[in-house]
Amino acid sequence: MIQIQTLKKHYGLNETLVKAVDDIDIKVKAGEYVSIIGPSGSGKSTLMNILGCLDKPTSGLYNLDNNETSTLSNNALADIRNNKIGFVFQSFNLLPKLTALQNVELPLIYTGISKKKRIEMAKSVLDKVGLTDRYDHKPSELSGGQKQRVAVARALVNNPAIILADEPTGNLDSKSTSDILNLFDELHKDGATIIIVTHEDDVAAHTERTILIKDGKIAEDRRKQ
Amino acid sequence: MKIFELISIAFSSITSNKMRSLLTMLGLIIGISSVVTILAIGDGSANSIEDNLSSLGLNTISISYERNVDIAPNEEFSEKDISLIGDNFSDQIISVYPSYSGNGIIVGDIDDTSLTLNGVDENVGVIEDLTLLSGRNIMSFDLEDRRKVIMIDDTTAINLFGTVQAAGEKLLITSGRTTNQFLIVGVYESQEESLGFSTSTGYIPYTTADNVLNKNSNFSSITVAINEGEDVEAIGDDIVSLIEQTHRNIGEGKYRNFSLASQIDMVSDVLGQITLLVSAIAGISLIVGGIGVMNIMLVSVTERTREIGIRKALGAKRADILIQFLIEAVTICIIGGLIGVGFGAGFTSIAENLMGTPMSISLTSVLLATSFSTGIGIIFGVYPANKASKLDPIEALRYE
Repeated sequence: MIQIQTLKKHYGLNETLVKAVDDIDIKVKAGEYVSIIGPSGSGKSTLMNILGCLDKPTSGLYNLDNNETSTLSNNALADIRNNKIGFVFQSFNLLPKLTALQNVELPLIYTGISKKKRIEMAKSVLDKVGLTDRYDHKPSELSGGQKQRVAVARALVNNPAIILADEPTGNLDSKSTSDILNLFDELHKDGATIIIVTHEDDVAAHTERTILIKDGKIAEDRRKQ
Repeated sequence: MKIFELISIAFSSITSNKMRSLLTMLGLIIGISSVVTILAIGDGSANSIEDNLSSLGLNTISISYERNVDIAPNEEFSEKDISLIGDNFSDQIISVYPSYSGNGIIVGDIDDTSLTLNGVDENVGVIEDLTLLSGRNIMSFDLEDRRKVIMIDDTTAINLFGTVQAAGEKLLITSGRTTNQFLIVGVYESQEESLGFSTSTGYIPYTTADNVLNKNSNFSSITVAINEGEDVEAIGDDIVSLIEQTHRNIGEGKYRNFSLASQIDMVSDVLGQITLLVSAIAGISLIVGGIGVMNIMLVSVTERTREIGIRKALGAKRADILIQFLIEAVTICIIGGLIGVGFGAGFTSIAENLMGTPMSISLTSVLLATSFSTGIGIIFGVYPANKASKLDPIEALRYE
């Protein structure tokens, strides 16, 4: 599903050279439930951006669902983000003026799916995350946990190859945190491939595989038995 | 299909900031409404001046001597010139005859009434565009026999006889030292007062006029009536060169032709230029309005950096973002333009009432206004939209 080989991301030149990601190899199979942990500044966010096709590596290969992304144009990367990746962000990143339903529709607009079909698909994923009665609520009318569930629904709506969650529980109270993590657990049971970037061990404990990043390198890659 | 989505995104973003959008449009509304109004006033005035002048007879040329030029006896107009013009331009002209006109006084029982006596031929009805109310026009036998017949206007007829049915009545008219009795053969409807001229005119055969006005067949100008649709100015110039040829003074500029048509052209030209100039000045406000749109779009891009980041993360391409913001700018401009046309129509009808001249906004000016505002939207929207589309999604997502 995901295959990363000798991936590097360097910033600056010569003395000021920062090796944010330095020679990383990762393989993630379809249906895996992975967490990437590490202290701040370890390079995990950079790795996340590259995994999410928001950023391009300096060198190395990144194959996502049989697409070699390191050589793709910006437009092709936009298509990959649209079709293959579902993002869940720490700060939800919902559009405040749109309703829950409209927010979930967003990726489908860029896919070019008809309005009728979009609403159908968006409703079905909102039902899946338990927000059947919140279609027409705006983000300001929703709790933190509900907002993140809308975001998860939005990540799911295009039926992506992987779900990338960047500190998905960072802005949530403990109740909402466990709600969201249970939601991820359920998605995993249904066969979704999920990668969560976090610095919380509790969150990482939910996953089957934990990759620890330090100074841009993989320090540890352990699987739960 | 995606374009409709982008249009609807642009619309919802405009409506979610109504006050701001309206203020942004204000510059364009003012600019477009003033341009539309000025064009309408300009067109209306030009039309009304043309109408006024054309009621004076658009298709006649008067050939006369150039002012301040010595005319030798052999250079003076003669009957030969008249028949020459008649022969050479028979296809283009209706009539040609020497111009005789003078003042006459109708000798009345109580008051004397003055009128202008105009020598004409049998085509007077067509040339002067007369509407007969009773009797008949001057006819060719009136000319041949130098009959003392006259056509008077309805106002004079009513003043003298209390009715327009005055054909057959007789009039005593004094001109110079002689007094002659005229038979009224026709009464015509006096045209609406044009440009303030309102003297009454009596039409008499030009042959009669020669006698009555004591001209002794000396005339200083020739009246040529041109067929509808002919190029009045060109024919006027041709006739002048023909006369120069016969009098062997080509290029000396002793004769000139005068027609209302050329005067109207000149007046319309000047008026058109004035209108254009004033519109151009009003057009400057359109540029100011356009800069306002650009300014707001730049603010909007900054404000919505995060939105742009989210959209890009979810799969929006550069072109999607560019088009979204461009449509937003263009939509603001088109709505502003349409409101401006609406206001322009309002101002035009106010001006119409104040000036008493019929005027209306033309389809051309509406199309011009809308295409101009679309153009402004594109020109001033491209920069902010391009800026938005180039944002790095990672940076944009981090933007607080």
